[in-house]
Amino acid sequence: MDPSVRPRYAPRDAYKLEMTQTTQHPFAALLAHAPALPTIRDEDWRFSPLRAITAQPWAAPKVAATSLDAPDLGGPRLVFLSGKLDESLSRLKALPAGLTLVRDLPARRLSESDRPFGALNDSLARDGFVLRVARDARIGQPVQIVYAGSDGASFARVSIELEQGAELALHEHFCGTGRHFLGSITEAVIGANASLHIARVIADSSQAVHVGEFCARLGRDARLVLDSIALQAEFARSELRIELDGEGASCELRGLALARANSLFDHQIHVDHAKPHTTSRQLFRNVLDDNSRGVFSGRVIVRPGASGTDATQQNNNLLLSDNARVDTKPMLEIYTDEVKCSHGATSGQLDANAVFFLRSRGLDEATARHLLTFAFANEIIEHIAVPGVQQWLSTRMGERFHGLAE
Amino acid sequence: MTQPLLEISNLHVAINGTEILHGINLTVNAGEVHAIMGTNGSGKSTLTKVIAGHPDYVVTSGDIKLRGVSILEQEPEDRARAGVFLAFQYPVEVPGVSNMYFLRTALNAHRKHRGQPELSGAEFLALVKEKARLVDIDAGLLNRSVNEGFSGGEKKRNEILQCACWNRHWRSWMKPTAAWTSMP
Amino acid sequence: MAQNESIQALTEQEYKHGWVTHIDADQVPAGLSEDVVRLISGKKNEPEWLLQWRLRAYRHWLTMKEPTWQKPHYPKIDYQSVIYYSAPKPKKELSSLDEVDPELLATFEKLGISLDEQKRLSGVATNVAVDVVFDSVSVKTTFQEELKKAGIIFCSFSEAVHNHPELVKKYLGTVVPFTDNFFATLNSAVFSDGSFCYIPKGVRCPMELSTYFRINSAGTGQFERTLLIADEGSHVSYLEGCTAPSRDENQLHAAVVELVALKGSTIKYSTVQNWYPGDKDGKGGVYNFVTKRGMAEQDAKLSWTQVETGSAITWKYPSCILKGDNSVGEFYSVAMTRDYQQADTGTKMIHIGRNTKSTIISKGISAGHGDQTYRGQVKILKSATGARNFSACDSLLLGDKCGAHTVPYIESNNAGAVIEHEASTSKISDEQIFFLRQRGLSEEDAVNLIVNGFCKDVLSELPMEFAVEAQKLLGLKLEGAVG
Repeated sequence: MDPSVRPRYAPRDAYKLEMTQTTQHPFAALLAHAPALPTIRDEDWRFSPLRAITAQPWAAPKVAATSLDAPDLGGPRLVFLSGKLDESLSRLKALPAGLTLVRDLPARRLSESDRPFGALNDSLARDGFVLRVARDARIGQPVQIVYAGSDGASFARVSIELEQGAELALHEHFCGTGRHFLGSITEAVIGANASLHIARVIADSSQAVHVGEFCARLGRDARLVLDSIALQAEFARSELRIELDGEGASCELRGLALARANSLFDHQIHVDHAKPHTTSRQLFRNVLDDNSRGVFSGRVIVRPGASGTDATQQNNNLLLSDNARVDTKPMLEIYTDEVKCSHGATSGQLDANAVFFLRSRGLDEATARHLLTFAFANEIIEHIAVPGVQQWLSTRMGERFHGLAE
Repeated sequence: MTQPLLEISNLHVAINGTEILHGINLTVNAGEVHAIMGTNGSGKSTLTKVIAGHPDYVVTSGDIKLRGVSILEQEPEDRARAGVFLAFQYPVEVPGVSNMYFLRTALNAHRKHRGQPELSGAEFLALVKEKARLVDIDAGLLNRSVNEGFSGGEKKRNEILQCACWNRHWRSWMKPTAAWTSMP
Repeated sequence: MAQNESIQALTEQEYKHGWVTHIDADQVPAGLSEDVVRLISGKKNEPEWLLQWRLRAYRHWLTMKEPTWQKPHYPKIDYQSVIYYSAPKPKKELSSLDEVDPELLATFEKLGISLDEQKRLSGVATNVAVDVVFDSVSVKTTFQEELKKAGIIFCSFSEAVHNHPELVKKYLGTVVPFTDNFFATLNSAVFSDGSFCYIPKGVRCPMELSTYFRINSAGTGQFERTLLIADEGSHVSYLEGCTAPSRDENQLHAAVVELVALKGSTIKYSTVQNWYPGDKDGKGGVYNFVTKRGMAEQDAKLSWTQVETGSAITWKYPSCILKGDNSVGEFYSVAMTRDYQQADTGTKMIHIGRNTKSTIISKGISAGHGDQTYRGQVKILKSATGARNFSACDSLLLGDKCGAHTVPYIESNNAGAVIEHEASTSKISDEQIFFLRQRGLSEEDAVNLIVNGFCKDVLSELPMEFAVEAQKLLGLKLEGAVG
C-alpha cells in the first residue's frame, strides 16, 4: 500500500495483541489490554464510543443460542451458534454444482492487521468456513450464513472465493438473544468477471453489540453489489472495505440503519480505486428515532494512475426525534485528475410539505409520517438483489411502521 | 489566378495509432459553399476537427493550406484567428464564465491578432446587440454562463453568434443532423 | 502533448515578492523560555496582567502535543531555533510618515501598498485604511484620524494594550482561549503585534480596513494576533494580505484572529494570502498555521472570504461560533496549490442559537504536485432548532500528480436542523480547452477563464478592488500550472 495514503490515525502498537488465554474469560485478554481498545480519540472511532463493550465484563457464552430469528431461503445454509457451527441447523449437503464449502479457520488476507477487532478475532474465533465458487459457475440459489449469539462473546470468520466468471448471491444474517457480543470477519476475493451479490442484515436483540468487517478485493471487470441493513442491536458497527483491484471493476454499496431507543449504528466504508476505469456507488441512509445515533464514515480513495474512475457517495439522514443524533463524514481522497467523483450528505426531518400534502389527501399525521419514513427506507430495501431477503425485510419494516408495508 | 481559400491534399490522419483518414483531397475557393456528406463514422467530423487542430489527432502525411499557407504546425488558436471557425456538434459548457465576457475576450483576441485595437465596453455591447438580433438569439442568454443550461437550439444559435461576432472569411460547419447550416 | 508543455512553462512562473529588505532588526535570541516570553512582554512595555496571561499560555503549551491528524506533512519544527521577536530598527514612536525608515517605505511601495495617505486620498480608488505589520511589529496604521471621528479604533495591538486596555482585557482570548490548540497557545505566549479594531455601536465603518503582513527577517516566526470587535449593530469589512521573501528554510507563521460580532453586527473578513510558497522543488516556504474564529451574538453575521495561493503549507479553518439566535456564518474559499504546496483548510460552523444559518462554498485548485484537503465541520447542537447549513466543495485538478481531498464532518444533534453538503472533483476537460482555443484564446487564457469561472462564486464575495487583485493573482499562479 502506498504509505502516503495510509489512514491518518496512528496505528497503535498495542493493537497487535497477543491473546492466548482464551480458556478463561473470552475478553480477559482484551480487557487486560484495555488501552488497546480504540477510543473516541481515534479518528476512525470518533463518533462510536465503545462504552457498550468496555463498561462491563463479558463472559464466555454459557448457553448456545437456539432460536433463529432469520428467514430461511431454502438453499445451502451455514448456522453459527455462539461462534460454533451447528450442523443440525445447517444445510451443507447436496450443494449446487460449482460450490464447495470447507470448514476451516481461514487466515485474514484483506482485513488490515492493525485493526483491534481483527486482532481479537484472530485469537478468539473458533470456527469458520471457506466458500468457493468454481470458474464460470453460477450458483442459482442464494447461500445463507446465520450468526446467532447469546450471553457472551462469539466470533466467526468466513472466506469467500469466486473464481473467474463465477456468480453467487449471499445472505449474512446476524441475530440472537440477550446481551452478547458478535465479532465477524468476512473476506471475499472476487475474480475477473465474477459477480457477488450480498445482503448483510443485523436483526439482533436490543442489547447485542456487533463489530463486523467485510472486505472484498475485485479483479478485472468484477462486480460487487452489497446491501447492509441494520434493524436492531444496541451497538452495531459494519466496516466495509472494498478494493477495486482490476480494470473495469465496479461496486454498488447500499446501507440502511433504522435505529431507535439507545442504539448506535455505524457504517464505515472504505472504497479503494486502485485501477483505472473502476466505478463505485454508495448510498447510505439512516433513520434515527428516540435517543439513537447514526454514524456514517465513507472514504473513497482514487490512487495515482486510476484514471477513468467514477465514484459517487450519498448519505441521507432522517432524524425523527429531538434526541437523535447523526455524525457523518463522507470523504474523497483523490490522487489523479481523470476522474468523476462526487459526494453528498443531508440531514433533516421529513419534508413538511410532503406531510402536508398527504394530510390534505386525507391521511392522519401519524400515518403520513410513517408512510414517508417507510418510503425513505424502502428506497434501499427495494434494491436488494438476494431473493427472499427483501421480502423478509419489508415485512419487518412494515411491523415497525405500523402495518404500512406493501 | 486566385489562390484557393482552403486546400487539403492527400491528408492522412491517425488517432491513438489507428489511421482514420486515408488521403483526403479538397479544394475550396473563396465564395464557395461545400457540403461533405457520408455515412456515420466516415470521418466528416474528424476532418473538421483536424482542420481546427484538435490535439487528439495526428496528421501522418499530407497538408492543409489556408490561403496558401500550411496550418499543420499552427496551434488551434492561431488557426482560429486566421479564420477557421468550427461549429461544434456539441458546444462545450464553461460554468461560471458569462457568455458576454467570453465573447468579448475571444473577440479581442482576434482583434489583437489583426492589429486592431480592443473594443471598448460600449462598442462591444453595440456589436453584440446587432449580431444577436441578426441570429435571433435571446438577450438573456448573453448573461448566462457559456452554453450552460442552453437548449440544443440555443447552443447552435450561440455558435452562430460567435462566428458572426468575429466575422471571418471561411468557416467549417459541422452539424449533428442533415440540417447543416451554411453562412454566406 | 503540447498542452502539457505549456503547462510546464506556466508553472515555472516565479514568486514576485521574494526579495529581502535590508533593514536592521531588533531581535531576541532564538528559542523559547519563560525569559523570552518576559522579554517580549517587556519590550512591549506590557501591563502585568498581559504578561501573566502569556505565561499561563506558555506553561500550558509545554503540556501540549503537536497535532498529527492533518493531511500535510512537514519535517519536525525545532521550536528552539525560531526567533520569536524581530522588529525593524530603530524602534521608536512614529508620529509621521517622515520618520519611517525610507527603506521600509520603499518596501511597501514595491508591494504596491502606499502608506502615504495623501497619495491614497488623491487617487481614484476607494480609500482603505492600512495597518502594516513587518515581521513582529506594526509599523504604521493609516487613516487613524479619519476613523477616530467615527469613533472607530483601528491601531496596532500594542497600541491598543496601552490605550484601550479595558477592551483588550475584556475580549482577548474569549473566542480563541489560550488553551485552544498547540499553535494558538504558542501564539498566546509569544505574539508580538497585530491589529486591533473596535467599531462602536451602530457605526458603519466608512472604509475598508486592511492589515498587511510581511515576514522579512530570516529565521523568524510571525505570531501576530488580531482582535476585531464589532459592537451592537455595527458593520465592518476587513482585509488582510500577506507576503514574505524567498528563503530556503521554512518560516512559521502562527497567527490568531479573533472576531467578536455583538448583537446585530456584521463582520466581513477577507484574506488574500500569498506567503512565499517555496521553490518549484518544494524547498522553503512559509508554514501558515493560523487559528481564526469568530463568535456571533444574536442577529450578527460573520463572513470569511479567503483566497489562499501562497505558503508551503496552509493549515487553517476560519470558523464561526453561531451563538446567538438568528446569527449567520459564511465561509467562501479559493485555495490553490501547485508545485509542492500543501493545504488543509476549511471551516467549522458551530450552530448553538436557534435559526442559525451557515453557508460554505469552497473551491480547491490543485496543480503540479500540489495536494489539498478541504476539511470542514458542521456541528448542530441540541439547542439549535431551525438551524440550516449548505455546503458545496468543489475541486479542480490540473495534472495527474496532484491530489484533492474532501473531508466534511457533519454532526447533527437536532432533528429540526437541515444540512446539505455536496462536493465534486473534476478536471478541466480537454474539450473545454479545445473549444476556447478554437475561439481564438491562447491555452493560458483558456485555462484562466475556466478557473476564474470555477472560482466566481467566491471571488464575487471579495471587496471590488481586491477581487480584481485576487483574479490577477490566480492568473499568475496558474501560469504553467495546467496539465
